Amino acid sequence: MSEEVAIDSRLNLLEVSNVSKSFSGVQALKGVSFDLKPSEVHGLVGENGAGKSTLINILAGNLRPDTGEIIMHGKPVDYRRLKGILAKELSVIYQDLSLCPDLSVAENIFLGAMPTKGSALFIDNRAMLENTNQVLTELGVPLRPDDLVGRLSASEKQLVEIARAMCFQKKILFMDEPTSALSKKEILKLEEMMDHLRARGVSIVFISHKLDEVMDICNRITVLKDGERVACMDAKGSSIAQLSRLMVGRIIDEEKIKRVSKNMRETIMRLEDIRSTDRVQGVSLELKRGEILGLYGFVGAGKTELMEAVFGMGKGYTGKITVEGREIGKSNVKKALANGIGLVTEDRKKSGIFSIRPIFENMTYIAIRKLLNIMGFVEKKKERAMVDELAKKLHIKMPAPSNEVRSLSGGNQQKVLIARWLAANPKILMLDEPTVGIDVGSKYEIYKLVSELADSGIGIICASSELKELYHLAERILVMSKGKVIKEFRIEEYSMSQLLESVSSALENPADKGN
Amino acid sequence: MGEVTNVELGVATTGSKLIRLIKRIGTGEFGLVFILFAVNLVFFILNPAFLSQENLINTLRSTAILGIISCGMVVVILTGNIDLSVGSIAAFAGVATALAVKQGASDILAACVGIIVGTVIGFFFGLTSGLFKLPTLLVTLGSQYIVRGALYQIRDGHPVTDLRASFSFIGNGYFLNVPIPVFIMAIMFIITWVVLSKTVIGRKIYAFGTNQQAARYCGITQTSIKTLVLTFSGFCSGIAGVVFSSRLMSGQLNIATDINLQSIAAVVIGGTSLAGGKGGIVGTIIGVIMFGFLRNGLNVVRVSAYWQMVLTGAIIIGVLILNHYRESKEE
Repeated sequence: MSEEVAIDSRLNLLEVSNVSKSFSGVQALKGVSFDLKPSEVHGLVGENGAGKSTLINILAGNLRPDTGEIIMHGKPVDYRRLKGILAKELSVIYQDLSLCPDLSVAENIFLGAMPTKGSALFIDNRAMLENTNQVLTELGVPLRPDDLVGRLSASEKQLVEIARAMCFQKKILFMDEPTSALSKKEILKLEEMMDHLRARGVSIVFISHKLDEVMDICNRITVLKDGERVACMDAKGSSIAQLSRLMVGRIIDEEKIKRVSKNMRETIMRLEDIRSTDRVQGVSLELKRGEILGLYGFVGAGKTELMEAVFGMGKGYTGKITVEGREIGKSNVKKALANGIGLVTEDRKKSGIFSIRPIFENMTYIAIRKLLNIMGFVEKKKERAMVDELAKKLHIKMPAPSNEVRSLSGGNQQKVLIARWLAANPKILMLDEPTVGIDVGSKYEIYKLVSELADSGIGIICASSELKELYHLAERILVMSKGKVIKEFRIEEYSMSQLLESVSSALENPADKGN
Repeated sequence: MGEVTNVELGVATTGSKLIRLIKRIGTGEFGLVFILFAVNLVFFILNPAFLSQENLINTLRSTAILGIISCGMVVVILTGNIDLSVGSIAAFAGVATALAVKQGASDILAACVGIIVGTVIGFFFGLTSGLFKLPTLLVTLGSQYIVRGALYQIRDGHPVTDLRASFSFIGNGYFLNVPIPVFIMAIMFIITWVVLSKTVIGRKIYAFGTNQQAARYCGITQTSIKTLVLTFSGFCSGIAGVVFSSRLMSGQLNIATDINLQSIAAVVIGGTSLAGGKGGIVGTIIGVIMFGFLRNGLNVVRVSAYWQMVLTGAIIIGVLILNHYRESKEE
């Protein structure tokens, strides 16, 4: 663990010293210090629940620390004034971006601060467009000021957010999981942009679960574990193994985690020429019982849309789905459920959990029929037993099953969703980005879980935009692009880096169609 | 990690059930209940006759109709929807019941007519909302006029009068010294409670109200839920209509014009969130009773009906503000 170099505090853009914060008896931060130097990209990593969000909220002036100091340019600042001071200096770019889709790029950038002419009643459109153009050109963003934000891709939206920050000459940016929706090319572009910003004296706090990116992009990395700062080090000397160990307390040997496929299993589901009006352009595949099939592709490749079509939620869907030899007619959700098909969606907050309902309810929605007595009422005892069994099997950490499910960490929430389906004994389970926004420790737990599920005979399709994840999980990977499967890979034939190369080249040369 | 006693989340992991209940009331989970309780206490102090047995029974009876309708309303609100047509359906069903009595139907048969009429109307507009994916707020905004207007048109403005005297039993009779309407209200509360807390349908209702999208992925469709809840609300309105007709011994066209507002107020006072997914019948019962006593008290001190309307609206807004503060505290 490298020690941080002592530096004149007056130079630090923003700093907290020895802050602690607890929420209703739970200690979220214990004596954490963090500082941000000018022109640096400072990575913040840690498991869910390690305290990252709490620290960021304190830094942004949203939360008051129980103890400790907030320091700006060497002088302590009262947390109540912090937000006001930071309004001119700080811009936070969240994972779910906060832009208005029905407004243009220029309008979004100047939202709340539009240049006016005359008696400040009328918007000075010309000045707005000119200023926007200026910022966009400076940053090398290939967008027009009057482009409608709703039509932009995730990475373009992100660039608009950055442009917004730069337009108002913000000196500090907080970026929360900025690369989860980006392709490799777009990530490189983002890295370029961040270098550019750094050259202009802007400092960035970069929060991410993707340790390789953090190591590439950041100058320094702060690791939080269980509310404490366990390290603040130069990114140059670090390694993923080291960071993982600091975050989680044990070494995770990535190469070793691979699924061993079993032979001689019958086909459980066959898809023939599935098409839907939203993006799926003719996909055929076969899934065997107990197999884990990976779907890889960038955002927009059609992975989600394919799984939704199979689950009965696809719009204008055509094609044949056969489960255990029987063809399902026009698929709808009821039919999918009746045929033992389950889907764990991509965005657990939006379409997965019932946030204010208790944990046990969230687990039993699908399987509820099993818990009914003769009168059609839910038997609490049976329910409790089912919930306890599931929690044990999936190692779900919950203080009490009647707590609201939103009180759980992201990883545990995801496990609750998997439990929901597990309770219903599905034949086929589809997982869409099952570990998005989940910390390293919980990620590997979920991989193990999914593997065990497959071992019990369930056919699993797992979609992910993280190739590494599929390397650990799947036996076969189907690479999708623009709604079609362009190539298939058997994992056992590749090492991780070989796979990465082969998949990248397959995506860049779509003419090279494989099996 | 330290001990987690989630009182703010409404679930304390220490203490008996009663203490938990009191804590929940204290944190405003049951809305303005304790404020209304205090107000009622004031009425009692001003005039001890307020809590005499006679007044108690009278008040309960006059709240009964509100209570019955609120059972339907709370189920609708729990799904994140609202039903503005309850008054109109109650009136329509009431007149239908009166007509049946006039045609010689027995009490039971006439009651069935009224209930079925209410249920069918509710079903129709519920299905419409579901199939066309329309917000029930808008659909029932329109249906309340359709139903009330149709009623006036069919009857040409005339109420149904001259009913046989024995029909007054449902609305004015007693059973074991308790007014029949209060019995009916109690039975409805129990039925609603059982459905909401013990059945699959109850789970579906809460799920849909919490997160409609996630509910879709669990196989719970908009069509089924909206149809279901508006049908149940129509069912409750139908029952209310029967009680109305029996109490008034006639089928009046202009009854229940502001019961919409009152039942929404009762439900919201009881801590059920208008956004759906949170709340339930227990709070509603308390809200109905508190609200009923409040109105009774105001009548006793001769506050005009118009001021009472103002007050009802103010209470709804007050509860919403209170909930807002509770939500932001929970963040």
